[in-house]
Amino acid sequence: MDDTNTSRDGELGQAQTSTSNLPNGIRTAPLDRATEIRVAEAAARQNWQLSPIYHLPNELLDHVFELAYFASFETDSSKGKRGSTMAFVQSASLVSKRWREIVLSNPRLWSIIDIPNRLVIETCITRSKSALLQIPLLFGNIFDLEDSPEYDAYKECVPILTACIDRWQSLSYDNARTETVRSLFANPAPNLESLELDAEAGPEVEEGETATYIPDGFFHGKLPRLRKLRLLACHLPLNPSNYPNLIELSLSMIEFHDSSIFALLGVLVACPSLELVRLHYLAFIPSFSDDESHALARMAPIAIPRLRKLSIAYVERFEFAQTLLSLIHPPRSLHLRILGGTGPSDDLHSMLPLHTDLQSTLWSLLDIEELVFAFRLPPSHNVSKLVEAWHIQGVSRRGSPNNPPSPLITLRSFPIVFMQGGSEGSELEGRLFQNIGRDLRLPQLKTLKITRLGAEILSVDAFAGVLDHLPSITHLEFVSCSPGFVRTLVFAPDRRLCPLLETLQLGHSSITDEDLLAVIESRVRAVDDVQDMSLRRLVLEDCGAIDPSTIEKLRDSVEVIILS
Amino acid sequence: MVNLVTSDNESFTVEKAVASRSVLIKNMLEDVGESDQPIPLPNVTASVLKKVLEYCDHHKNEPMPTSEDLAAEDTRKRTTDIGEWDQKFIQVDQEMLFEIILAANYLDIKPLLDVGCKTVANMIKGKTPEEIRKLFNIVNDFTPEEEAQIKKENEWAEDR
Repeated sequence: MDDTNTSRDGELGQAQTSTSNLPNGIRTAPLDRATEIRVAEAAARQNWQLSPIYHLPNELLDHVFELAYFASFETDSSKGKRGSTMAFVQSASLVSKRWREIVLSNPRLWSIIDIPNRLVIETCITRSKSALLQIPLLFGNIFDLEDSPEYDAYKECVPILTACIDRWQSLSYDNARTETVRSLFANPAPNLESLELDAEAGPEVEEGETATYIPDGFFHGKLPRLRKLRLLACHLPLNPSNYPNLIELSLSMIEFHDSSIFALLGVLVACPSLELVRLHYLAFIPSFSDDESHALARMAPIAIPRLRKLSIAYVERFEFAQTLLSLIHPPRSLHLRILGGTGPSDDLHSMLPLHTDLQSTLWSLLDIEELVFAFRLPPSHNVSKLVEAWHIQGVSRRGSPNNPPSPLITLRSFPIVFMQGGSEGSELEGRLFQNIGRDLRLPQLKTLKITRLGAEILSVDAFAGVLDHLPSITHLEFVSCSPGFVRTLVFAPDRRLCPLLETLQLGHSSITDEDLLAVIESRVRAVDDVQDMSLRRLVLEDCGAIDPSTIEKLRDSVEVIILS
Repeated sequence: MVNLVTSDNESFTVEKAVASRSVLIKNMLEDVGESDQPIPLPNVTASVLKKVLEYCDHHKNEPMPTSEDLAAEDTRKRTTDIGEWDQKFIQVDQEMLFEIILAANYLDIKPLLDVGCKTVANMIKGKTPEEIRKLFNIVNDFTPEEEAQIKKENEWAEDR
């Protein structure tokens, strides 16, 4: 790989041509550009060390270019930008002759076609030689596509692209419509691994209804290598033969009014290698037939041993999530994410399969070591200002606090019914919190962080009842919570909550000197008669009611850390 | 322990697990078996090897890239993300950065080669030709006519 001599030729650090060291008053004769370059090259040969990048042989520089090229595509496509890979190629090819030669001679640096322009597509197809192509044709939210220049450009591009369909590796296409899907896939795409069809902003969409219907069996035999399928407002019947052997399945904004969740389970059975599943804004036949109900009841959980992430958002009813989750057996490392509105009778029972033996379904939940329960989150952008969300996040550190956190569950929701200062939301949050420990057993839980818990959400006794089910906690953190909940930690003859607590952390708390001393001193006094009692650390942040003299007194019993 | 000798004749004695992060050294050790013979590294200077060994020591307990990992190179190329420790490690001047890349290539330490190349890729991304030239001290060896011609050729990509 040592072709550095070649690479040195023709390039030079600018420092070598500098005349800044010439004495004042001496002027050099202006050189024409060609002479200047020859002088520079000669100097470069003599003293090339001044520019370290010249040391890189072409193969490594080529590798660097590929990294920058593909990373530009990934980064910018997620931001919805277009043309960034072409911008990179153009910039690199204008740096120097050597760089241009490398760019032009690497087919992979022309393998992403992200500009729907005939000349660009033809150039990329030619220069990419036989490399597999990645084709993100993203127009953005154009409702009147029919009359737009983009649509004209698209129509011009389709025949050029379909002529090399055997080289497609990935295709992302927004504004998808039944007609264009048919024309794009008139022939098989034998190397296509990733397909994303988005009809959300297409001309056929009406008021969020599913826009594009792909006929059953349309892709049959045409996409033998397909591994990633993302459909947005594109209905492809939930027939397992339409979805075989995927590793990623994303279904969004689709009404499966011709199918029940039973059909979806059939798809999961057909895809045992799934690693990522997203089910967002889906609607199914709301109820099961008797036969289906019996079949579901007899069904053993479907093993999906590689599933890393399952995201369920805004499905019509939480029953859907609960039924689905009770019928799958993912790996222990699964990150489950549920997002959506909560009905008046919902609680964790209606979202998670708590009625099942979690060991045979969502056993990842049993490994939660750290749990954050945030009440009354500020409204998010897609939720009414009147509605406050709640949020639960559970992570594992695989047995050691030094390991990075690995998310196991993220639940975020808000009451569906708008409350005008009513109490339904508070009751709901309180009910959800009381599921923790009692219904959702957390045998490994070490850390619990609670944010914005107030007396209107939960009584102190109910809170104590929750802690009573969580005896393994060693770190308890209250942020902006009513001080009454902290007082439950006072050791009394009839109540000794969190006996293994090592660290108590209070943030933005109005707890008084008296209450804090009562908690700490009662637990310290209990050292003699409670073998496991081990409170060692108190962490305080913005606890304005605590006097410095109290802090000094507390230091006699525990380590006190003040965060600013 | 393994004894490594650099091009400037400095000797480094390191754990076998650390030295074996280099596929080149690992293969050499397997070929010669148990031996006290120093291993010459004629393409690496002491200052660079010191840095490379720092990387190898930090990652010594991680699994070696498998042939499956290497086959998934396409996937690796899709990100220029660099781990936190690696980012700090690679915060060196340009000369050392390119020397580390060359050493990683010579010693066949794929993960270190990736860290170095990703760092350079991140430096290039989103920059204009002039900014790249300035950053790496590269002379523009196109004639004005050639440059104008290339820019003209590139116009088609801007006409969307």
